[in-house]
Amino acid sequence: MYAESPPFDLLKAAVIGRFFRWRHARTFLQIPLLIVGIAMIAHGLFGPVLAPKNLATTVSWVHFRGALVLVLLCAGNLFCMACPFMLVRQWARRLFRPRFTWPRGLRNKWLSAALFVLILFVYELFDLWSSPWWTAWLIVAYFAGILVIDGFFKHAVFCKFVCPIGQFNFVASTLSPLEVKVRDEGVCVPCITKDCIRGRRDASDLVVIQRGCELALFQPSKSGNMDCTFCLECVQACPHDNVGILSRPPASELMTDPRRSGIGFFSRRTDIAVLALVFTFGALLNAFGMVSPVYALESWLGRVLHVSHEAPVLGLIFVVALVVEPVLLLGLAAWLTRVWAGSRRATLPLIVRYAYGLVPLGFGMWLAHYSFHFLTGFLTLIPVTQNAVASLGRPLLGEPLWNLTGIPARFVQPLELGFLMLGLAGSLLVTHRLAQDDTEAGAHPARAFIPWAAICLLLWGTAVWLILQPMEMRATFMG
Amino acid sequence: MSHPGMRPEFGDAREVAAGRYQGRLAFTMAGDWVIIVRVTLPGGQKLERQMEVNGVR
Repeated sequence: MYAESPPFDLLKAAVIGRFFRWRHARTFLQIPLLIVGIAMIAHGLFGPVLAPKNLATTVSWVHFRGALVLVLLCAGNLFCMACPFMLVRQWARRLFRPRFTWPRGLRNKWLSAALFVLILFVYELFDLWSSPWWTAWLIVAYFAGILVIDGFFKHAVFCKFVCPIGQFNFVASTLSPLEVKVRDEGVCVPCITKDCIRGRRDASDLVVIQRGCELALFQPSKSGNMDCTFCLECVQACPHDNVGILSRPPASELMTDPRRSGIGFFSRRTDIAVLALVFTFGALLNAFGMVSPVYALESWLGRVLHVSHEAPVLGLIFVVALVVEPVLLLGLAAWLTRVWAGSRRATLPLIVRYAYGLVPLGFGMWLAHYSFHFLTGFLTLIPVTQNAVASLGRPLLGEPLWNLTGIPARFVQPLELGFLMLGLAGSLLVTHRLAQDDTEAGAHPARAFIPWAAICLLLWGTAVWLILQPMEMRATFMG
Repeated sequence: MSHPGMRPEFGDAREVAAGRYQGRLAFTMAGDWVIIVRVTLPGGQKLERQMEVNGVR
């Protein structure tokens, strides 16, 4: 007999654990990011118009995205924890008390999934990567959106129901190795105060002295990272010191379907499944936008449709990639699972159930794409910062070293392929597990697995093809 | 490149005739390139001009 070893708890680690247990750890991380955000806005609006020389574009599209996916892979949703937008919101809430509750019809992921698609579309249409000005305005819009929404509505409405970056982080963090979780479930059973979700008020019951989870995640029945911003309010609130940041097998939460606090059952949340599909197919689409064949396709579509504007052509590509392709592929696989494997589930519940199985592949693609830009260009932050400081009047950091870039692309490509392999392995593992559990619905497990495995292999093959394509960075259309 | 974080290419130009300078640059990737010309005049004055080369294939 072997005793199961307890999971690693980051909060019990020597130095870093003490830091994360510190009451002001989040603010400590948010302040530097807020300063960076303000510098990005200022440089984007008033600095060089050339994207590689500007902090707004360089930090947003090279460093932020790359560091984000790598931190999600290696740890968890720490970027939501350090989100500078939330710091501004906290300050604003000292002036304005939100009075309204978010409309019931919007308490789902439909709006945020649509905003996620909109950002992907705008990114391609306006070539955001090459426009410091538009990038700066996007950051300003984010600040404004949070102030307006969280200024009027109670709780963390923006994070849970609106923020597209947050939704990206929530979906990706289902593959992270760390999770905010109760250490001992038995400790929670007799708890009557439930501070982890209610928070604590002073004796007058008017002043909140410690917030509970603003995203409606009740720790004892919280399962997985979906909707968790790692704000660690629950850690501070728990009077029994029973919440930790625990290790767990990545993707394990995609293989099971418990009732999750604040979410419900994954298998009944069509909106979250659609978000997962946007995450997965959007990863391929976003990468497709940076390789040569996309321009040939756009030119061909422009000629066939007799249009010279990019919007309708790009719109058509988005509809095919994010609607037609997933509906056809998953619809066919679900039909086979019913007819060939004998599952008694209906087609839509099957699609919803297995959509989560594609998330690892999607994350593999995002990792391959964003880590490429990050690793091949991480040193560019140095000359861009030198240039920004020099533009203030004196080159305090020296003359810009424009020859600094990063790791040569030929060394990064094997890593990209490795991320894709990891994604494929994860998706096959999750879909296999889901197919095994489908026996409860009368399905033959191997037959239920094969159609979904075929989709995984098809998407993986597409991803590998994309990575091996010559890159083509264009901010012009149909040139 | 128009995308931040991509490797820039550098090259020197030499005078091939009175007032005419020639240099070589490698476009290592397809897409939109931006050429920045930096000139130091005999008096030490520095000039910078920028031009776009779009749709390199």
